[in-house]
Amino acid sequence: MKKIRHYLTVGYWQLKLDALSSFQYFSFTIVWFFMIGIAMFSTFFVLKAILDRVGRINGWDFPQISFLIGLSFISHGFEDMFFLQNRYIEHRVLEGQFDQYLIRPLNVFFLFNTSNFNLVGFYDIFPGVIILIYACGQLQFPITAFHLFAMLVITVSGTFIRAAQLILTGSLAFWTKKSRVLEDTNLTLMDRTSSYPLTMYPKWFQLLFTFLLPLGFITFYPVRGLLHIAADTAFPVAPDLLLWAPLVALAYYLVARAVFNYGLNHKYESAGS
Amino acid sequence: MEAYRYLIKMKILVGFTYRFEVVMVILTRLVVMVASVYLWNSAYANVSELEGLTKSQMITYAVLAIILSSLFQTDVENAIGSGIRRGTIAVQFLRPMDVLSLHFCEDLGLMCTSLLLRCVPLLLCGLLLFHLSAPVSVSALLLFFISVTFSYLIIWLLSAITSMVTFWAMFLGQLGAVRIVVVNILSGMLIPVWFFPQVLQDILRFLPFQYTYQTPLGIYIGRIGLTDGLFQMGVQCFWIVFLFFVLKLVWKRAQRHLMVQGG
Repeated sequence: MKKIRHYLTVGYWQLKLDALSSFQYFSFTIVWFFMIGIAMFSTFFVLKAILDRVGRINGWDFPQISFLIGLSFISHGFEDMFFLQNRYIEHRVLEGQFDQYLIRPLNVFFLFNTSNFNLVGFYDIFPGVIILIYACGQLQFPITAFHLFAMLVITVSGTFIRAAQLILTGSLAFWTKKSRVLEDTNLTLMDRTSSYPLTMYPKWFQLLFTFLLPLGFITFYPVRGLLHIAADTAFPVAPDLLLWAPLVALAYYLVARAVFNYGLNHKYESAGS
Repeated sequence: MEAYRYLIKMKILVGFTYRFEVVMVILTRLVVMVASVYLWNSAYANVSELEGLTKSQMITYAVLAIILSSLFQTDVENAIGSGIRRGTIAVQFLRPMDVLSLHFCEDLGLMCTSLLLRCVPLLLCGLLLFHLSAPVSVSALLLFFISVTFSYLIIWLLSAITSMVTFWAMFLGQLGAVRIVVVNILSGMLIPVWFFPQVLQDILRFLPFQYTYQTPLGIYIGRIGLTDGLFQMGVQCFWIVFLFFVLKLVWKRAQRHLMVQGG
């Protein structure tokens, strides 16, 4: 218990200091706010322009897709807020910066994953919440304790699946010394599989992002289950069950943690100065 | 002239150095391309035409838009921004060449690299995977290439004008990214402007954005006829001249605001 309290205190102070430093560059964050807002609403706008004309895409109407986009942006925002440092593992490996964590009497994975608080992540959450509120209104989505809990579960699970994906690809730097170049591909993949219905892609693509890289669980499967949208994929198990999202997130995160720890303990060379 | 040619050549050589990065950029653009094509495939599941475009035309438009976005690479915002922040802009002023021309040549080199290392592989993928339509005629293909050149000039001038903010604000932050996002939306890169509400279409006719992507792409797929295409290329020329003079004007004033630090 004492150990957990100690870890929580360390995490809290790391995050607080990062938040305070973010506010020092006010004009920088304001420009970010507008850039992210415009970029995110453009995805929403493109889909609206198409769905206004065709009604549905693979059985999903515009409010349902908006629900998907809203939750996708929110989990993207939380991932950016707490796990951004995983995109820069390459830099830390090349500069030997993990040494500063290794000499501390705390778990390195925990320390590293609480070592950054990125205020800009909030700017992703903001448009996501607006779009989600719009979708809920259009769908007349019942706001009950269960439904709020379900949205919370999807958000947290989605955040951890995204984080796991970043940790996995970032950890490649322990072996290859290069991982940063994968991050744009990573982000594009996560956005394109969580903001659009996965069923619009070919079967092999759906299988890949369900069983190998479970990005379909960031939003697509749990939202399809929550909104009772007819499933047009025939997998042996129904991936739409809400329970799958946190289980998949936990498993994927643990795999990512194991890969990170293995890379750090066996391949990290403390290079740099 | 020799110095400017050397700058272009150096930028091309640098571009060829980072091969792994190039592969990953192509992969990322390919993901965007696949997502876009399947989105339009699904949209056309029950209709044969949208805004006068057939499925084949729309997919060709979407794929070529992604390829063009890889071609229209500019670094002038970053280069001037970091030059001012680090003080190295002072050295650029000491060189026996015009600073803006220097950055233009570097960006031309960047574009040549993008053409070879990004656009050609992406075009091959597009042709193999999505069976892109051929241009409606040889004249349309010719006009397409000329129009793409004009589009690049408009985009470069817009980037250079945005970079001038650094002379007053010292730090551009993500303003360059804002410019890219705004251009992508209003130019028809993400979705043709023909899908926009009529009021917005009327407004955009008087702004330079739609002439960067929609004009060349519309000419290629035949949605814009040759006569209209020539007219729109005339409008592109107008914007090039107009933005050039705006840049010259702002550049003149910007130099008076130059405050060198660092370096």
